[in-house]
Amino acid sequence: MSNVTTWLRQLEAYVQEELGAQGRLIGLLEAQERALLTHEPDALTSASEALQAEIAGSAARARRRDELVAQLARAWSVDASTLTLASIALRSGPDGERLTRQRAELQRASQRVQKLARRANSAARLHSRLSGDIVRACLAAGGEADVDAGGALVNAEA
Amino acid sequence: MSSLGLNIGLKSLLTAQAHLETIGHNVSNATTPGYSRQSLQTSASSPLRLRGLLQGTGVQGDVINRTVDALLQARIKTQVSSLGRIDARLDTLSNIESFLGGASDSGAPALLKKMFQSFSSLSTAPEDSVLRTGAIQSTVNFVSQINSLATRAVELEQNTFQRLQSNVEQVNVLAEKIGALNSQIANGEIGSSTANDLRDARDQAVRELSQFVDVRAVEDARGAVRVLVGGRILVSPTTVESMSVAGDPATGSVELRISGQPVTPSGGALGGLLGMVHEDLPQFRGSVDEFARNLILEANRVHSTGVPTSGSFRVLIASNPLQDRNRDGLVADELLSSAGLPFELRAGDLYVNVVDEASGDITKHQLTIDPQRTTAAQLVSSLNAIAHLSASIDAQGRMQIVADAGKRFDFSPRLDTRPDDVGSFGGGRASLGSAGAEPFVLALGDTLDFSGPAGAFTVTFGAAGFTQIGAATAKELAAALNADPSFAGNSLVASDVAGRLVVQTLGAGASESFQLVGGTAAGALGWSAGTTVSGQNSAVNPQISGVYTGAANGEFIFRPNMDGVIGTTPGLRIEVFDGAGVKLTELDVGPGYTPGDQLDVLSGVRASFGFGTVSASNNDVFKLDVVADSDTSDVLVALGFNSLLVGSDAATLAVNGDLVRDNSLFAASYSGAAGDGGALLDLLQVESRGFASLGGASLDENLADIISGVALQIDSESGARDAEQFLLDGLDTRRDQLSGVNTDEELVRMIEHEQAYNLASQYLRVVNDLMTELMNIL
Repeated sequence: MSNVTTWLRQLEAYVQEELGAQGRLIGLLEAQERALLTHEPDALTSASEALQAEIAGSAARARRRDELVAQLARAWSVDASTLTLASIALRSGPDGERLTRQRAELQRASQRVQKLARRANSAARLHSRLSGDIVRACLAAGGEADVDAGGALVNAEA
Repeated sequence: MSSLGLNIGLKSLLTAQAHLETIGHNVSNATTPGYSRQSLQTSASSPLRLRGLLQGTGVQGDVINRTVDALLQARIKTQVSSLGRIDARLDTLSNIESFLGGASDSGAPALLKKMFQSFSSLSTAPEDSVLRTGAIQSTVNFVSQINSLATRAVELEQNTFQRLQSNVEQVNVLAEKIGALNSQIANGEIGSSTANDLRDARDQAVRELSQFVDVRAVEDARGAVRVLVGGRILVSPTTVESMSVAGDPATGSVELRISGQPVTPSGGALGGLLGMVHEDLPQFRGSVDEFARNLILEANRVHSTGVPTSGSFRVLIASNPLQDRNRDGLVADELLSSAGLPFELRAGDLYVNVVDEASGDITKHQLTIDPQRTTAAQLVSSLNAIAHLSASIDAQGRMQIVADAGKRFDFSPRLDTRPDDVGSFGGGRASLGSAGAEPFVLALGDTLDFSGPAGAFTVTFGAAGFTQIGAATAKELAAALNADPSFAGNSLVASDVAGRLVVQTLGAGASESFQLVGGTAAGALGWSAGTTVSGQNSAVNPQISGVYTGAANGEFIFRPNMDGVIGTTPGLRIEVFDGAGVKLTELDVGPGYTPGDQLDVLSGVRASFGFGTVSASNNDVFKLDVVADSDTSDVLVALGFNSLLVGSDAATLAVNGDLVRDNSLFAASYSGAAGDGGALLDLLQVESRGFASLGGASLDENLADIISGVALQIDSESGARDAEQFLLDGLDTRRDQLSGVNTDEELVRMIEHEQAYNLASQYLRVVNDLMTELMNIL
């Protein structure tokens, strides 16, 4: 088996792993959305923390993906930035059919993740702004100082 | 699919906004009375069927709920009602306490003490005009204080009535408010939505209403409350009734009405005030009146039988008029018990002393009075039957008694110092007494044969003048004998001495004599035919001194045990019997006795006997009335003769104006003699003696009881108030925990929300960036 075929198989494994990660992300984003809808700060924080753990794993995958794409680019004497999964599958001919199917699945999963993330992010930002406004209004009504001006650190030795 | 997602996001945002606005509303109303914490109830929106799948459509806010415990609210309402009742009572009781004066120098107890202290001072020198004026003035001061108590009690009743009116107005305002809120809530609540703030306002109004009256609030299916007071509807879902107060506080006939129908609340300020008007204030007034009545009764019982410094009376006019109760135009025919007199009479005796101004001799007369049978006219008649007195009733219904010229009268219990008026005990006149006391068993046509200075004669007894000749009285026999011309023509006179018939010559001295020759009636009188009795030159003339200290009225009957000469005859004794014939004691007047010396008889009574002969054979006898209470019938108090105090209750109580104008009319003594303060000493007893009508308490104890009773009530109500307030505080705390708004918690919740959203937003932005990067490689 040539090196290209080997790298192609490794790329297929990466795509499969990425598909699994996207599925988990979809689950976490749905939980995040549910927490947003129920307005439970604890549930929201818990969902956010789970999301953080999942995001942490994505960097390693991206690094491995970039290495595989770079090796294929050298083998084909092209610039790595010009390669996509679609062009790699096309260059690989019949060996790329599996990657073509995986790419289509990954594209659908990524689009869903992106849509969910955007929607939830919009809601979270608006909720955050609304909460902040009410907190400031209540504190102002109670004669309290602004919540953002709650105090400052002072260098006692200065 | 895209539009559905946007819709879900929008719903989420709107729901979150409602949620946070509810929290803000809670924070803003944290200090609003009666506000209940609100919370948004959310649920998942109805799903949509898309491409054969049931697709969720996000979240929706269903309803904003109040956090309320209905049972807790009801208990708070009951507690508020209890507190309102206690507060109203405490306020009124404190008013009473303030004008009672308590232990201050100007308080009633201090003035009562000063009054009796002035009597005590006067008792040491009854003739001292300055002390007498002081005694009368201190009595005026105390009486004024009692008058003031009565006046203030009436004012307090009127003030309480005004408070009732004011509270009823507030009840009506609150009822209108609840009625208006009922309408607003009914109009504002559509479907499952609830008008929380309006309900809070209505709950608060019901709570405020509970301060005034104990209410029952029942909510119907449409959310309107029906408010009931004492079982009657004050507020219905569609109408509001009006409460009113009617009646007269002076008679305690005050009542509350709802739309004209009477209601009797037991709680709230109105319940407390009604209780004061119906029970406590009349009871207080009643106890002050009862005190005043007892003071008048007891002081006048003593004073009316006393004798002023100016001596016994020539004229006395009653201060209390008789009333024509049967409305026949006459007062004389009224029974004393139903003649409208302010004090109740009892069946008893009245002793009347007729005093000879020249000699000082007194003649004591006993009148028996039964108020259920004795009419005013009969009393007048009995008084008129006393020699030298005439009684009448004036046009105003006032009874008056007038003494003949040279005579005076009084009602003193003093002893008759020369009780043997007729000289039937060793007197100078020839005297023959019956062996026994009445009744005497005679028959029609019985006779007594006498031989007198004018010769022998016979007296025959017919039916005339006898109620029942088979049980003839000494008085009837004496009258029959005195009516006989031959009896009088022989200078004989008959008398009734302690129920015994005594026949005597008119003249005195050793030359006087008569003989009982015989007759069919002699045996019934214990006389032997042929008994001759003679007078003597030296009369024994018994004299009495001392003050009777016995507890009951009665009579001492003195008889010798044998014929003999006072101070000479061995074994001669004077036996003393009571009215029932029981021997009480005997006095040795034989050789060891010096005629004229005083001998102790019984109960403070002393007797002395002059030189002379006494005869058991001739049934010598004399009677001494011993009087502890010279008016056991209270007729003098009821009619108002010789009163120290006039009036019949606390409001009308006053010092007799005659005494205020002329202090010599103050009856300090029982004899009018200089230095005699007997009546004053008895008057002093009035302060501390227990009276049955006051439950065994004395006047000063009774007054102290009235004051301490109010203080105890205040203490009791204060204790109850503390307990009820404690319970209410506990219930309010529980309500605050359940329904109240904790601003700190609410703000912390909002800040947590904000931070959580921030955090979520940051992670979602990272996810978005990652996805953008991933999309580039696809």
